[in-house]
Amino acid sequence: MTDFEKYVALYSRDLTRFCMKLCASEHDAEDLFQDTWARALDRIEQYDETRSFKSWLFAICANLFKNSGKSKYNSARHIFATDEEKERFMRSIPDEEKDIDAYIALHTAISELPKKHRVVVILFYFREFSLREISGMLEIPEGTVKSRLNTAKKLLRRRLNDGSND
Amino acid sequence: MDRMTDDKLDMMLSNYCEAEPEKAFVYKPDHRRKPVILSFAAGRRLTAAAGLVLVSALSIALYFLFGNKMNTPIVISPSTQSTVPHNTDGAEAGSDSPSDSPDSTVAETQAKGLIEMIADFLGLSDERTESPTEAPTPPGGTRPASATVPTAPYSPEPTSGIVKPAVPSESSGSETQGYTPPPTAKPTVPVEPPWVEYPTEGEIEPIEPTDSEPWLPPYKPPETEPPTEGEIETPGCTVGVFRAKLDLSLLSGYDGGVYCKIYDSKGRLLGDSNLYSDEHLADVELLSKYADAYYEAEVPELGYYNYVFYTEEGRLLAQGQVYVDR
Repeated sequence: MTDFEKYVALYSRDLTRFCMKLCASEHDAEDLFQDTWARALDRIEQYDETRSFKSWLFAICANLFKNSGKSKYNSARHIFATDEEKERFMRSIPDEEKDIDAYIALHTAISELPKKHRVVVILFYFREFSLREISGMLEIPEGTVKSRLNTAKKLLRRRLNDGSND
Repeated sequence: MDRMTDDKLDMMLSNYCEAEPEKAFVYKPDHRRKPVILSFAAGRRLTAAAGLVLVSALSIALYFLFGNKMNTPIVISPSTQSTVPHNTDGAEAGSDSPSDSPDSTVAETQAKGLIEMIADFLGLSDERTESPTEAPTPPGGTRPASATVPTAPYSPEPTSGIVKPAVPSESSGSETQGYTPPPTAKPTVPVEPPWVEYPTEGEIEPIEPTDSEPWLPPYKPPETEPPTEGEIETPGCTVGVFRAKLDLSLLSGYDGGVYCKIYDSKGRLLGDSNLYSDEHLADVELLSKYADAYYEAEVPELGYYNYVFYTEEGRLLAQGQVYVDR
C-alpha cells in the first residue's frame, strides 16, 4: 500500500464527516469528498511532512468548498434528497438529544449560511483545529476567523429563533 | 422550539459536527456524479414544469393552426421567382423573373393576400396594380426609380439560378399597357377583429383581483416576544453594512484582528462598550490589490452612522459615514 493509500484509509471517515456537514446533501458531499482526494493526489508533492496531513487535507477540502461557485457542492434544493437520507441524519444525532426537529432546523440553517461562514463554523466545531490553525488553513487573518464565527452564530441564532416563532 | 441561546447553540453545533455518519465514502479515482434521486417535492415541480411545457406547445400549435387575421399561414412553394403572372395581353409584367410554374400561382395569391392585408392595415391605396414583388406606388406619383424590393415569397431553388429583384421603375409600362391584376385571393383567416371590443358602459364586469400566489399562506408578521432576562433586543432592527478598502501596506506583517465601531448621528456608540470584544470584530478579506474590511451591525433606526476600522493596538485603518436606508 502506498503512502497515499494509507492516508485515504486513515482519513476517509473524518473527511466524509466534514463533507457531510459542509454540504446540504449526500450527493454534494460525495462530490466534494472525491474532488478533495483527487486534488490531494495531484498536489501530493507539495505536502510538507512537518505539517499534519489531516490539516493539509482539510485545508484542501475547505478551500475547494469556499472558493467554488455558488451552486457547486450546494445544488440541493431540499435539505434531504430522500427519506432515507433524512432518517440517516436523524439516527446520527446523539440519543440523549430529544429535540430532533431542532437539529433538522439547525441543519437547514447551516445550509443557508454563506459558504465562507459555513466552513469556519464547521471547522471550529469539529473540535480538532484551533483558531490559528483554521486561520492558516483558510489563509485569512485570525481576527477574520473570529469575526466570521461570530457572524455565523448570530445568523444561526436569528434564523433558528425566527423559525421557532412560526 | 425554545429560544436559542448562545450556550444551547454551542452545544447543538458540537453535537451536530461530532455526529458520525453511518458509512464513509470510498475514494474512487474515476468518480462520476450519480444522478440525483428526486424527492417527492421535486417530482411535483417536474410535473408542473412538464405541464407548462405542454400547454405552451399546445398554444403555439393552435396559433399556427388557426392563425389570425394578420397571420395567414404561409405556404412555401418551390418556385417563387415569378411572382408576377403573365397578363393575357401578352404585355410583360415588367420584372425579369424566371418562368412560372403551376405551384407558384397559389403562393402568389396567398402572398398577395397577405401583402394586401398589410397594405390595408397601413392605410395604403386599395387599387394596387403592382405585383407583390414591386414597391407600392405612392398616391399620385410614380415609383422611385431606385426602389428595390425583395422578392416574395422566398424561393429556395430559383429556376434561373440567379435571384433578380424586381425593378419597379422599369415596369411602369405595365400600368400603361392595361395590366390586369390577378384576382385577389380571399384571405383564409377569420375576419373577426383580432382586438377585443370594449364592452359598453354598464356592461363592464368587475374584475376580481387574483391572488398571484394562492398556494402560499397569508403573510403573518412575526410576533415579538418580550426580551428574556439579560437580553435586550429592539424589535424591527435594521442591519447596517459598513465596508472599507484597506491598503495592503496597512496590514503588512499584522496578524491580529480588525475591529469596527459605529456611532450614530448623535455620537453615541452602538454595541459593546468594550471596543475589543468579539462583537466589534470585522471580517477582512485579503485580495490581490487591497483588503476588504466588512462589518455588519444592527442599528436602531435609519439614518447616518459613522464607522471606524482599527487594529487591536488601536491603530486607525479607515473611517467613514454611511446612510443606512433599509
